[in-house]
Amino acid sequence: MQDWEKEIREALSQLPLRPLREAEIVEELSQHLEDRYEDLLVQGYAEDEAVQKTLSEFRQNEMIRDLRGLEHAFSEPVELGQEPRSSLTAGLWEDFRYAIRMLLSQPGMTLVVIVTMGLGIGVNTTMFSSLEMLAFRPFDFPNQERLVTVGERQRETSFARGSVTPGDFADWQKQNQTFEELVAIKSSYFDFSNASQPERLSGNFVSAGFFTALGTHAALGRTFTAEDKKISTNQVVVLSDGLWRTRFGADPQIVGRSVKLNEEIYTIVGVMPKNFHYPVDEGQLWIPLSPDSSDRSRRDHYLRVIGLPRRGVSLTQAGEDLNRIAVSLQSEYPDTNRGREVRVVPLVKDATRGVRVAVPFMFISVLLVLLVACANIANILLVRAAARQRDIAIRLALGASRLRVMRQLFAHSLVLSGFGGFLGLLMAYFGIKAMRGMPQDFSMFIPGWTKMGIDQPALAFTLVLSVLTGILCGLIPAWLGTRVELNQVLKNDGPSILAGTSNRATRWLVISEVAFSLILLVGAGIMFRSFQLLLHTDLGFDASNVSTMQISLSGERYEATQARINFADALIGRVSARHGINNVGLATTVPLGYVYKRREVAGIGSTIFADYLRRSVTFRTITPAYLEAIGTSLRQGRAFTEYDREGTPRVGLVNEAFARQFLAGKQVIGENFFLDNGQRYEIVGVLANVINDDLDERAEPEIYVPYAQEPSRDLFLVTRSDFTSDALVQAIRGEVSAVDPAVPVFKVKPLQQYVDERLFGKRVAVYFLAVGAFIALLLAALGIYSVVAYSVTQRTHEIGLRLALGASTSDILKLIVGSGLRLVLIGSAIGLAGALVLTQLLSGLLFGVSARDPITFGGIISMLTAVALLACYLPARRAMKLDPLNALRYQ
Amino acid sequence: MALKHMRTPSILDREVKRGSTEMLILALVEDRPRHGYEIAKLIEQRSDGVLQFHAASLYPLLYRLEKRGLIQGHWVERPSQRRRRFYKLTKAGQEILKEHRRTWKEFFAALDRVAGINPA
Repeated sequence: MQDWEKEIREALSQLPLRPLREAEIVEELSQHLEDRYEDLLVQGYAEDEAVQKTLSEFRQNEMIRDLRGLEHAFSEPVELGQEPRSSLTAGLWEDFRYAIRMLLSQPGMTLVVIVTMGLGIGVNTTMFSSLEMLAFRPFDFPNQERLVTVGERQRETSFARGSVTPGDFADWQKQNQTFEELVAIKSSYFDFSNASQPERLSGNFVSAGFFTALGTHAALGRTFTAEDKKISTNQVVVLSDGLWRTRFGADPQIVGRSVKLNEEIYTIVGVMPKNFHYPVDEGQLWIPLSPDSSDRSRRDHYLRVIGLPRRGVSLTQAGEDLNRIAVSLQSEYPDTNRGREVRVVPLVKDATRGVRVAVPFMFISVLLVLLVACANIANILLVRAAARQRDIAIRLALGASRLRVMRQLFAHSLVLSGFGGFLGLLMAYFGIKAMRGMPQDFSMFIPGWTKMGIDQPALAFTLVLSVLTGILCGLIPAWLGTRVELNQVLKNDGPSILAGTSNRATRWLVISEVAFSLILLVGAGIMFRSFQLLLHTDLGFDASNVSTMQISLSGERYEATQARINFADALIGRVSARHGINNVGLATTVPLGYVYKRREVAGIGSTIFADYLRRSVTFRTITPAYLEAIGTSLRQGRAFTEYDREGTPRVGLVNEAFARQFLAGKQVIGENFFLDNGQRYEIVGVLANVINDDLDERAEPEIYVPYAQEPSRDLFLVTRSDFTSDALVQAIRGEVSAVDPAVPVFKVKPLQQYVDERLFGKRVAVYFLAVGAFIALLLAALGIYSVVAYSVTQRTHEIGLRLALGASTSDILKLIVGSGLRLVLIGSAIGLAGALVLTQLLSGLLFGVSARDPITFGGIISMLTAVALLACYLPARRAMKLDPLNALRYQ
Repeated sequence: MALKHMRTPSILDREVKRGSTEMLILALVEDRPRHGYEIAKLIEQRSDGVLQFHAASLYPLLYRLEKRGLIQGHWVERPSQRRRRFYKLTKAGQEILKEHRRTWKEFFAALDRVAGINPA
């Protein structure tokens, strides 16, 4: 077999070709010769003849002559000590090594830049990794993205109920055609009496298919099977990982053991994985919900329903399917179901709606911090590139391509952003760790809080962001730094100066810094004002020195209502006798206490509402001294007294919102209302509104009735004292045990803690923004300072001339400060326009303050100007102190 | 027009040759990319053996055309075959080809008018 390649290579050896090019030509030509040879064989040539003919046709001299003028000789600009390579990546490693050496030679500047980048990237990574969990993947079970929550809505009152009646649920489950699983959840409390001290556990009754719908399995044992629901004699329970560890010592043999809950025996069949918390983070056990077949009520809404639509079924289709059933139920049960519709919302969207409002604004804010940081770094790098202009010019003159030099400058900023990204990652890691360590109960109403952390997407995000930051910071310096007039630069022996274009770029960078920081400052300022107002908003109660604890009167002993009343009387008597206690009250719920009770108003005065028009209102049973204990003021009429007991006429208190909504313009005191239990109550007083759920909510109608007339089993003990101390709280707890040692006490905490927990999310957001805005302001001030200081250095000669010609120091001050302020004013004008857009995004988050609040806008602009003035003044002062003679000599 | 400024016959000869071969190659890769050997064979076949192209003259020409941006070569790998370099016509190549065709048409028309040579 003839070696064509050898022939060709020999011929080409006369040409100084680059190795890669030579290889290509050899490959291509040898293939041609091979093809020709084979063709000749086919035409009937003998092998030898074919080889001869092919070679004779390959007139190498002619080819070499033609190629000589055509192919590039080995003339690529070569850098000393480097291997010539044609690819764009050649010498990349050297570029990075060189960049690192350069950075190490100026540790101060390098540190400033890396910290600046770290801050910029750190806030972004923190935001990304927390919001990624909080807003998009809050749960730990596989099907979170497919699941939906199903709720009911009353068309007439446009009142959306989260919960569903058992009757409606049963029909949906039977008749729907679009769901793989449709399950109901009923959260409840369970008295757990295995331990020495009675305890109250939060848990859930869940209908069959709950765990399948979520797509999760037990870590130990099993979840429920269809059989579990049927066998009523042998009840089963699945434990949470937390409960299994704390109460059962993580016993691996736990499955099969029994446990007493609410005085009934349950068999433990499984333990869930560590991170499984649904529907609430504090849920500790799950028990099959076997809806009593007789309970087909369509009045009581108490089930939470979630569904797993079949694959390929859209949200709309699922909604239409259930609404079709709802329509038939409307005509079948007009009394209760008239106007009742079904609402289907993605589970994640429903659970994260509070967080999602803030997402766009938070992301824009952190991005602005990064942009300000980038502008600042670009400025520093630009000045550095200018200082190296001579260096760059020489390299270009020696034949390095511009692209090659630009790459080296980019390597510089990429190394910086690499370190910056690493620092940012560290900051985010510790930041998130600190956030996660915040008050535990907070996580209860923000799903995903405990899951937050730096995961793979967050790592990828940081990496991409770091590279982008490096490119963004290096773009202008690389572009302008390599645009040099070779002759001009090389002729000039003195220190090189920034070209006019670089000066312009520097100014625009500062203008953008000012604009971005103004936007951010205004955003943070408005959020801060809103938060201030929220802090000082009237909650309708006074949380200082109030402690609360929850008590449960379960079991047969408290079956009789009189037993509950006796317990309450005894407890109040004992606690109020203690030193330092001012008021003691019991109530079924406390404001912001995460426990909500609602009742439906069936009628007012002589008007009885049709079923579907009944409005549900907040409902609370209280003992007389509760109002003083919590500090809610009475606006009209009287409070409850010891005489409002069983056997006396039923009385009730309403809040102002109730009076306004149901009895507008009427005499409230003495009016009657009816509740869904058919009872009539006489209104004896009107109370101030209290905030029960969200701090920025509007007050909702509320009803209070005397505990002695409707004693319930679940209570909050509320005590107001002169001071609060752990000892006092322990003493109060002791009094509960003294009245009945079997009564579990739980959730012991000061009322103020409930308030703080509710404020926590907003506080974090405000602090976060304030820190971001402060960083931006600082960076902008630094940017202004460095540009003005640089211009003073550049204009030293001119200033000297002016001074020599008789300019006063105030003229010089005006000149220097004026040039700096002009940048600030242009930046502010642009920033103002941006701020107006941004604050619109904010409007949903604001409380009591307009998105265009003039005080905030005015205040922020004044503050920014003041900081800018200071930043301009410092270099200006130096200019004023120049000695004209020295300055004139300065080149 | 390229033929307006007539110099010595030998230069004209070379120019005409080069111009014509250039056009031949551009025309052959007009409808689809082809590799060098295929181009050489097609020229031979379609000219009934009158025009012949050997590797020595074909490839420098291809490289020149590529350098001028009229064609673009790229390596194509097919399973169980050696990779081959295919050339395709670029936008600029299309323009030049059009120009070539027009020039040759005019040239033949002129020849026809003067010497009664009809290319068709």
